[in-house]
Amino acid sequence: MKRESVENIFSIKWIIVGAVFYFYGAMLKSEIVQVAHQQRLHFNNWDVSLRLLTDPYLILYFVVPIVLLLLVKSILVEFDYQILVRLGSFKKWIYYSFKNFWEIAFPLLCLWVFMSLFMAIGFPYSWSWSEFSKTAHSTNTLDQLVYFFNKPASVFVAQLFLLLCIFSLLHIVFAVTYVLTKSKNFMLFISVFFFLFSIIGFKLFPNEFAFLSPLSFFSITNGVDAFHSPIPVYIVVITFFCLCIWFLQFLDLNKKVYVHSIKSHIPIVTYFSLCVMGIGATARSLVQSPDVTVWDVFVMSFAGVSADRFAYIPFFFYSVVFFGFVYLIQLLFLSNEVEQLGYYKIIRFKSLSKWFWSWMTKLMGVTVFFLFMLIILSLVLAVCFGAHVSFYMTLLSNPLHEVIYHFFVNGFLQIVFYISLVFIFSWTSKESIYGVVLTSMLMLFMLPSVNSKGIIPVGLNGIVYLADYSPYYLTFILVTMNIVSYFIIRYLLKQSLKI
Amino acid sequence: MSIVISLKNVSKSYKGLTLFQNVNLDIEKGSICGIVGPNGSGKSVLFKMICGFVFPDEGSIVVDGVEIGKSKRFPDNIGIIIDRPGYIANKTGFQNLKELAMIRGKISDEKIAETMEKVGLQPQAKQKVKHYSLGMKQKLAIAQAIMEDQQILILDEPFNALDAESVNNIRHLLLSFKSEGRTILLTSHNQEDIDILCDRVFRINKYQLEPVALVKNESSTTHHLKPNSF
Repeated sequence: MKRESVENIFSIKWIIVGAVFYFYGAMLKSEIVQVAHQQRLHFNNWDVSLRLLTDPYLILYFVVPIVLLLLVKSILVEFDYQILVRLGSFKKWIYYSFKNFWEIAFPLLCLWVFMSLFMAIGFPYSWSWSEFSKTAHSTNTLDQLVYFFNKPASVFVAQLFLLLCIFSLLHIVFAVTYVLTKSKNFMLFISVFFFLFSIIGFKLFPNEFAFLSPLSFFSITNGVDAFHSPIPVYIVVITFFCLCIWFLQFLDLNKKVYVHSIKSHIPIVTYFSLCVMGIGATARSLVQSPDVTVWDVFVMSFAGVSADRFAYIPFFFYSVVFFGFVYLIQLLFLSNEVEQLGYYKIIRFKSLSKWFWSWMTKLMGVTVFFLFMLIILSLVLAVCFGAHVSFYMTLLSNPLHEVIYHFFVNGFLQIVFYISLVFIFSWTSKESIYGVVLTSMLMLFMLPSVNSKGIIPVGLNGIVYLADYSPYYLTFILVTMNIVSYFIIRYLLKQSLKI
Repeated sequence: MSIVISLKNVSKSYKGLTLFQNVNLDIEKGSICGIVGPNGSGKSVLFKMICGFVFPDEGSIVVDGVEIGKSKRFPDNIGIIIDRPGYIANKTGFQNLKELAMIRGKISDEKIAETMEKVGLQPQAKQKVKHYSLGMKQKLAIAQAIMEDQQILILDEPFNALDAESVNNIRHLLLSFKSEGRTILLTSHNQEDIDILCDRVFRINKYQLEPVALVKNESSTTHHLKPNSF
């Protein structure tokens, strides 16, 4: 966009903007007078001033487009290499553009505030809420605010502050977007998208999702409707603003290095998020009954499935938590050890068995830590969701120590068995992908009626097994299978040396 | 001589097109270095990488001892002509330069006026930039690149649209900057500009910067470079 065309567009803008505020204010004024007379209610200056400053239609169809136009203008015009090189960084350019944006947007805010106060001329003057404001009826949008603000003047200041914050946030977000994309078309696209999304949010979103509507952050009345309090509105806007300012610190860095390091953490973060979501969902569904304890949440979270007690959600959550953990070990550690690093280490260990135990003991330690983290996470989330902190369970008749024994000892043995199995497949095939295929196949043994005797060592650490089996019997099975798998590994390692 | 600009194993692709692969380049302080190559070969992208406007896909760029993208995004003390500068059309040339100078606040109005005169513009003229010819806009671009005594100049086609006399004037100016110890990196499609000004020339060929042997003697320089007031 050339500067000259932009300059021309904005030559008579403020007169038109002032006129629109005036006529819209006059319309609101006559509406207030008419309704107040019909309902025989007293009204005052704040009724029109606050209505004009918080009116959703005025904001949505008039103020938001102007603000978008001004901020896109300030960003596109000021993004110039000659300016950038003098400022020294994109971060400083964003602040520079921010200052210029407010220089051109400030008259809009001044005009709006002035017109809001000007339209009150002729109305009875007061510092208190009017009867009209306090009364709930279709044309009054201020009645909810009365519960949160003692004086209408404080709403005026709060709305002004909200507008300053949201305009600033919008500019920073758009400026950062432009720095990252450097695409004028994309800027125009997100401007149009934001405008349309604001309309959709206002018109179509049900009240439960009103917090997603941008309008909730432009108008304090809509914000209170969405959040049932003005405070969350400011918390959300200020939090996002702070996050943007924090992000600016990294805007000028060569992010390729960071992207690489972030990429390597994505599987762990995804896995952890899934665990939290699963336990959280379990806790949320359980706490609806009054006697639920934190240990009930723990039991239900890691219930797993057996041949006779099968349900899809515990099945999938068990798969995510335990097979997911084994998959992470395979992805982040075992594949490197077997495919790449292993040989360089093997020649230094001089014995495949020593090499095997060098990392297997580490993985065992990680497994113990993992099980501790799972139990702590489930108990903490249970407390957060309001479960009772008691040392008993209501969902299972087994004693608590037995459940904890089962979770730790059988859980440990089960995971070690999975790891051994994945190693056997990776070692024989020299392809770590087979280990992943194996973990998917193991899930099949958990389907209904497949493992009816509890002999196949898959999913035996699910707490649901305690309903039908002794934990010590399960320990026996798992220890036996681990010994078998260890002998297979020893055999394979010995065979490898014969090559 | 100290190295002012250094590229180490720089690779860059732009919109799916490979432009550079493992490029290494060192430019000494107080030299003029020319980059030549056909349109679309990546001259502007190379300059943008040196200025920090885009990052290389691989490798590192150090300007004035500072690696771009680590502690600093754009190098200090650098004057540039890259793409067409965005001027405020309704302001005069002086007002445009003043706007830029105010960002750093390092130079006076007198210095701006002096620079305008050096490049052949009249600082007192009331003519707005929208009424400038292409050549005048180019002189304004040169003025903004040099007015703050920038020690490194990155000039993409600085002689575009200039008349013969102005070309001669700007050549004199750049050579005087070189003698002051400033470092200049420039591109030009005019071989004469390259022959007269550059100490070293590199051609972009097969994603590399190939050194080009310069046929340069005293007579060629003096023959083409007419006497100037500098």
